[in-house]
Amino acid sequence: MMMEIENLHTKIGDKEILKGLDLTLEKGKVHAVMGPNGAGKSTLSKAIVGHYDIEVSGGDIRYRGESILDWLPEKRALEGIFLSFQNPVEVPGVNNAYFLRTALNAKRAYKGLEPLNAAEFLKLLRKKLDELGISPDFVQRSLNVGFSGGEKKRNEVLQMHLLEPDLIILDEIDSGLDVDALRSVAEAINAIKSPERAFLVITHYSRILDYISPDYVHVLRDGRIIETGGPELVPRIEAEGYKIFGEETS
Amino acid sequence: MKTLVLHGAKPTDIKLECADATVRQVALERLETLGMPNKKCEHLRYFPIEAVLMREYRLHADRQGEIERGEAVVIENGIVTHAPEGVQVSTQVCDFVDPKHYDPLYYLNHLVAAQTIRLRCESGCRFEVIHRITRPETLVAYRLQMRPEDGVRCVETFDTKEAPNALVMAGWDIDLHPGHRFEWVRTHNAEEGDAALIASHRMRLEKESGAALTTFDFGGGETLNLYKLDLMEASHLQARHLLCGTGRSQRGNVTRIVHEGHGARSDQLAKHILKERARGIFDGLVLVEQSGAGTAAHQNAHAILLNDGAYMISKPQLEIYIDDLEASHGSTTGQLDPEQIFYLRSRGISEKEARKMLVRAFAEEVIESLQDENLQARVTEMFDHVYQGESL
Repeated sequence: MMMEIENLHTKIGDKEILKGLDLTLEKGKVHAVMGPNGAGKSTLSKAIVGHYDIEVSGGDIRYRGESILDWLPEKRALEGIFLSFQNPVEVPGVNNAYFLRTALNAKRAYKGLEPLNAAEFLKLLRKKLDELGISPDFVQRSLNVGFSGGEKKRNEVLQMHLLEPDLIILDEIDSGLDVDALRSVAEAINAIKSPERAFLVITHYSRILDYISPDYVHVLRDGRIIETGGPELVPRIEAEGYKIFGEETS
Repeated sequence: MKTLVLHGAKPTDIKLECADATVRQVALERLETLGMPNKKCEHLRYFPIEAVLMREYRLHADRQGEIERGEAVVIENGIVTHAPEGVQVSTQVCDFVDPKHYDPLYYLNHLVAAQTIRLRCESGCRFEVIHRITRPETLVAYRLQMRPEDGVRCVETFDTKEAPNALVMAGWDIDLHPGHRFEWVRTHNAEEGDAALIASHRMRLEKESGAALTTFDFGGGETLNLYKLDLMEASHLQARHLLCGTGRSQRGNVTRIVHEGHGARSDQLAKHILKERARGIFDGLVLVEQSGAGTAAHQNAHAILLNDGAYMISKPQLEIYIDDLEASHGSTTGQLDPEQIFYLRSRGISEKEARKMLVRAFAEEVIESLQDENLQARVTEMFDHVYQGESL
């Protein structure tokens, strides 16, 4: 197992968002979490990466068998958990290439590897940019500043390719993308699928799942997983909506 | 040895007889009008001016000696000891004063300055001025004058570490010829307990001239720089300030940019990073006179407070007497954005490193406004040394 989430309760301020969520993520599999607006999908992703807004009030998140609730966000990242943000924040003045190198060298240091010097990093970065078809100008700009929605998502994918995480959480990766951009981002994500890596694809539309095929589909509503099945759930949800799983309790 | 307490003294009682009679007369009259520097002066209200002027300072009667050849203009305790090839240095009693300066410290500096140091150099000359103060508990006062030729760059540094409880008063009077360009870079890096620095300056930009003033003010202690910057017809001023205060420092810039001439332009950006219990002051007035039609004036001040005890006083002001102009100003004071910090941490970067990256990014806009990459590297190193990552 890559991750086990057990009876997870979370709060934002006084409001309980996740109300006893159970979810298991397997290595080498793509898990899709679908649910209506306000179900708690983004809260789930933020809880996994340790966002400061989220208070875990009960339950546990275990990663490779170890509870991560006490881990700092940077430790979770260094251990291989990566969240592709729905709206990556703009960071004026921080050069994208410098940021990428700092993040990569932090990970290398954590693994006991020597840091890459500027020339070594540049060589690696150019290779990744070539593979992803991204213009080199892209990394000379300030991190996410003035990026279009598609560029921001491509930058998240570039980070995935450089940092090579083991658990990748894609929070509404398709939002703000046109069909071409979506296809290109999905191809880049599919390129790093491996038997050692798990994906958690969080979405409320099925569109992204036409490009990234899920092994499991979990339906999240009212702070709990209410249904787990295979990809056959996707067309049913698309056709009939979430009401097929019964009425909401709150 | 003579001593002097400036606070509470009557201007007429200050009989150092350093300035020539006319300058002394003007300075006395202006001090009579403006009053001696104290907390009642609005622009000095937030700086511990009275505490600084209340101390008893020793006075040394040094005489200007032979000036040796060196790599920079070195002014040690107010006496020029070295000058580089291409820079001519002469010294005399204070023989110039602007009768319209807003700041009583400007006139006080003229009254107590031991001498005026006048610099001359050829077009395109780049030189450094090192102010070195080595005497504790001493008043070191002098004035500097320059009429820069076209393309001159002057970089100033201060070494005040060996002079605890001293007071340095060392302001400039600069006149920029019509059409000339001048780059003025000031770097001051001090520690708690170093000499206090109060410097009141005046620069006049004649028709179609352009100046870039970039100031870096880092560290602890008490420092206040006051500028009166007069812009004549079609002149252009770019002013950039980066202040990083630490400990219990009280540091600031007071600026008065006066658009006197038609079509003058000014663009000012002041950035402040305050940690621990530091206080930062930015009091910037852009004054557009009736004669200043068609001018453009932009002013922005930003501050990041890194600790609960840090404090910023920001007063950007526009005072405009005409309709035909383009003007804007703004000011922000806040903390680092937690969402930005989290984003960096979510990529494996420690919180300390993330905060450092964001602070550096904030500072870089000013550092990168320097044209010279070597100078940029030098200032960056100085900044990193002072900032050293925020204590968490």
